[in-house]
Amino acid sequence: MFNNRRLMQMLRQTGALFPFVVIFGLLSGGLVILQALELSKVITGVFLQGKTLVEVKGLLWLFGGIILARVLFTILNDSLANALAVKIKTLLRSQLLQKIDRLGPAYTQSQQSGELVTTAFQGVEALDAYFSQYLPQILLAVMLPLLILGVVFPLDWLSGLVFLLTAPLIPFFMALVGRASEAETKKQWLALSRLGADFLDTLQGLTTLKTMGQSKKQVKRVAEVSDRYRLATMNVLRITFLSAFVLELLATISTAVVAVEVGLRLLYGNLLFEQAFFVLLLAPEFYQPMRNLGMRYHAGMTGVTASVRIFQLLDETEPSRVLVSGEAVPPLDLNRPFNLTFENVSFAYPQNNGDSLNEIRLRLDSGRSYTLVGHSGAGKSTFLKLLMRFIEPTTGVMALNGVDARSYTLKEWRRQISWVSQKPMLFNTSLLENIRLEDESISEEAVWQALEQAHLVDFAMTLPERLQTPVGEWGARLSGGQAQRVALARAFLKEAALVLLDEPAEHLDADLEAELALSTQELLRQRTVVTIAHRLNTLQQSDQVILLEHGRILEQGQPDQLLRANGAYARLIRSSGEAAA
Amino acid sequence: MKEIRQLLSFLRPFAKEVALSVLIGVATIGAGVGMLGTSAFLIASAALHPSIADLQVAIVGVRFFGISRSVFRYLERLVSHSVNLRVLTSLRVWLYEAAERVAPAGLQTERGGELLNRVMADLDTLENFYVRVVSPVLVAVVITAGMSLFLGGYFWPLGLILAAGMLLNGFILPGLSILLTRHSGARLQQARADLSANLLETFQGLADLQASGANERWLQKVEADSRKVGRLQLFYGVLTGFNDGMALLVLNLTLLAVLAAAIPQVSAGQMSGVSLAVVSLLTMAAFEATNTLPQAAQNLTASVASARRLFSLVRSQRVEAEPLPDLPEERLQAAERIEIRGLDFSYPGNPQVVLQHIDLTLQRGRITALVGPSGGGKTSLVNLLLRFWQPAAGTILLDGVDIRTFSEESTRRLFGVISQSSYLFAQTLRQNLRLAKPEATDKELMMVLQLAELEEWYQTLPEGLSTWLGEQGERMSGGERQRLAIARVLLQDTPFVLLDEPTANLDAETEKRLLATLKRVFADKGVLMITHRLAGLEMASDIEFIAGGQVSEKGDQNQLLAQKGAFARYWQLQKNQT
Repeated sequence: MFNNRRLMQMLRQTGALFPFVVIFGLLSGGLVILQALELSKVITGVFLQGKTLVEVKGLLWLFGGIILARVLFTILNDSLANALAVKIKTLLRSQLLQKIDRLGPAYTQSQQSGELVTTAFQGVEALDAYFSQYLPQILLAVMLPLLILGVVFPLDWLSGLVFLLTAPLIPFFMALVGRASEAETKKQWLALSRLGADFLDTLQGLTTLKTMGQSKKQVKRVAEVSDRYRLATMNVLRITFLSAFVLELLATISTAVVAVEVGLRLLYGNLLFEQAFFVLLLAPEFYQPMRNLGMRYHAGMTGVTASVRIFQLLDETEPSRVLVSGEAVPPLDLNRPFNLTFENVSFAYPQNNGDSLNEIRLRLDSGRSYTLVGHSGAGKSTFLKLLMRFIEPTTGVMALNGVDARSYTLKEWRRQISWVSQKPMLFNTSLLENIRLEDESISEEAVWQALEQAHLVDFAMTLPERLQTPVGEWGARLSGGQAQRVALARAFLKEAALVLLDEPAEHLDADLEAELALSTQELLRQRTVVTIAHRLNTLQQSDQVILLEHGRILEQGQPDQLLRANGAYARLIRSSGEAAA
Repeated sequence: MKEIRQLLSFLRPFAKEVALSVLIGVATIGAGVGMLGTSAFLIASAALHPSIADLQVAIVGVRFFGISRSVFRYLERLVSHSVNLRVLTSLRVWLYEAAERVAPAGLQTERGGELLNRVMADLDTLENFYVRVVSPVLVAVVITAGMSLFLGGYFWPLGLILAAGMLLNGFILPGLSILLTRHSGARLQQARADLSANLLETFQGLADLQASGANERWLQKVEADSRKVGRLQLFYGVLTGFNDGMALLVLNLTLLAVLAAAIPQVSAGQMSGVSLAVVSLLTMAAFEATNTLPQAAQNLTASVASARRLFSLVRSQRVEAEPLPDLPEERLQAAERIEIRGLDFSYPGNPQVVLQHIDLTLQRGRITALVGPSGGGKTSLVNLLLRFWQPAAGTILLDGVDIRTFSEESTRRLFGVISQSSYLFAQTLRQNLRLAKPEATDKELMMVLQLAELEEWYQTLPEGLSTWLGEQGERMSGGERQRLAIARVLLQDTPFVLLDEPTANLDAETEKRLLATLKRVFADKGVLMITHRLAGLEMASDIEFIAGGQVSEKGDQNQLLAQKGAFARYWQLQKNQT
């Protein structure tokens, strides 16, 4: 119910579209009454008053005029209803995109990307029928029958009474049957979903079946399971179709009752033919809007179901990016000496679906290299995310030269930091655009230079269209090592003073790895570096090692010192040596 | 057209049910037409004030049609959906047989993606081919013909007018609209696919985009995609409105034409006034049969597109040459050694060489290991041994005989396979195990579970062997899944076992224990162990180090380390890992 109201509130953002949709629907439906009136006049004229074609010509022309108006209103109604849906869908999709951008990578990584696409694409599309058909039809299903009642009652109150009494029965019985079919579906849900999913399951396991020599024998099973699925589905359908049956039965029987009742009163001279015929023509039209609603109900409910996830996503709490003070903030320039301090910084993911950090107190100085070590789950990558401001501290302050980082916009902040991830995403565009991701106006020469620094020139030269070659999903496949060097090339291009490096954990072959290490060293020279290390040699070269455990800093200092201190760090180094041996 | 004929052929076995469903469908609409017709007759006759007895038949008729219509409708929906589901079964069996022949090679796109999702989506579309396309068209044809004849009985031009109107409404207009929108339909589909792909890319790459400050630009791009989809949909909305409007126009113009033709007849005394009332209502009611046809036409185009894709999948199968003899049972039992000689391989349509001149021997009672960094083509070797793909050059010999002289299926019985993630079917534990040996008794199953050291896990199961596994069932850890795969291979009791990164998804402790189990239970088999990790290599009597599709070094672990070559460097790298 809550979602229903929220969906309806969206109508406000579409201006006068919705009222117009309803008005045109009403006009095109209301003209049916006029059309029936003209038709009964024509027939009465010819039938009982002996009029000729010439004499009813005027009426027929009028009839034609009404048809044209109905056609026009129908076209307008359909087009505007669709325009309404398109407007809302585009708006919602835009809101979802902006929201996900604000939630940031920490959020998208905690979700399945496929599910997010389903929400933003299929989910939003599912709202189409809700807005273009279901919602306007609710109003029409109330207003049009009322309009017809208003016309019929003064003419023939008995028929009016039949209409009035049967109308409420339709929603009543439909709800009753609907509940029964829901119960039946629920009862059979497990069986139905298992049988329904079995075919895909069998196809997915086909290779396994084939290796075990069982694939041919499964043909019989596929047929059997499918047959059981058919029987189970039919059991449910038998009840589901009852609701349409009830609707139809009520509508046709009351039309029949009206016809017989009107006929008899006509026979005894209590009613005129013209009025009787008019009422007969209107009888099916009285029930039509309700039947239309019945047909659209399911589509409407699908939309409401989809909206649950959409609104849930839109309501996710965002990291607080509030500017702390209105005071003048010194410009952000990491090319000059700086320090980054963490003052009791803690962070926890909202649903505990990531590693938290606890009261981190730390100072990073420009020009030095820092290396994070610790078991997986210790909070190393959470720490890098804080530095990138993909997340913000839950409590405590991260400050640059004593100024809260949140005083700077995300754009300013990230412009001066390079982030080299283990597995960079390659977008479905050219190699060129993948490298100069931050700015499309960077020259090709600069990109070539970055490729050279990342030792990727040889690879780029082998591509059929060089820099213009598409990469990613639909293009040339890059090996793991090449993809990592794309990340390096991006960083070379950016020339930021602070580099955050997530060392690859996966092993490449030894020669490739040596080459990669070489270009990495080039990148890190004379820059401030924070590295998540997976290699012992990286550790030895860094100025400071920070050992994290359970989100806290356990030890910190120069690698040699820590080794001599013979504490947790020394133990970690020793045990990793043993594990590999 | 070819696709439609082929689709219709799936209906042939159910001709009787189809006939019944069409018959009831005609009866449904017939009852609706009948009710309005008799109502008009009743009222018009009553206007002439006859005796009540003259109206009795009409009164009964109105009531009969009024009640029977909804009963017919209900029955028609049941029968047609039942036909639909029967056709679905045939489609599934047909598709499964086709997929079974080409799997797994034929179920991958050229770029290595999975075809399965597309196949399932196409099957979903075809699922309703009968209910949404065939049945409404057949019913409409019968009703159009029947009603035209009926109206022609009053005065022949009326029949012609109705036939023309219904043909126009049900067949010509929908056909035209499809022809006219074919181009823009394809554009809309493309725009939707682009939007979906770009959304996925944006969500997956959000970290990269934000880090490089490209997120705003990217978002604008996706929003432009979204607006483009919206613009095309807007066009479709106008088109739908136009179609609806035209349908309304044709119906009412037909009525107008019927009136214009019938009124002079009434004036001339050739037709009664009562008939005029009846004819006009019948005309309006008849159009119910063609109302659903525009939608049916849409569904038809979608079905044809889906059918074309599925049929082409089947056609793309390589034709098997003459059937080969099965590997004789005694050879299988006595199998001692597999020799791989000079094997070259690359995937079809991809110039990249995956394996180059591989020599390798599997011997019962020995463990041979193929080691190297990931992405070195190691898994392809398993696919070649199982003959899922064909090598470009080289041979695989079983005790000196080329395995290609025997049928594929029979030589697959030589190998048990444990890969990095073993597939569990959404079925019971018993069914999952029996896939390996359909005739196995519960006692045998318990024995292999015990051998695979799954007893403890088994004790926790709520329903023992009948416990439901897979998606909605029991959650299993990675180690337990692999042990279940071991149990399956033990049931298969093959002479050779292929271990393809069996411990890739496990932590070090679990890995250690699993390797111990593997060594114990497969001691008498010829084992091929494929791995990029170093754990367990000391068990292997022969190790081959592979990188870039080529084997560069061979020997046992100590020999290889002593060589101080690529293997030794790789070893050192892994030791350096924290």
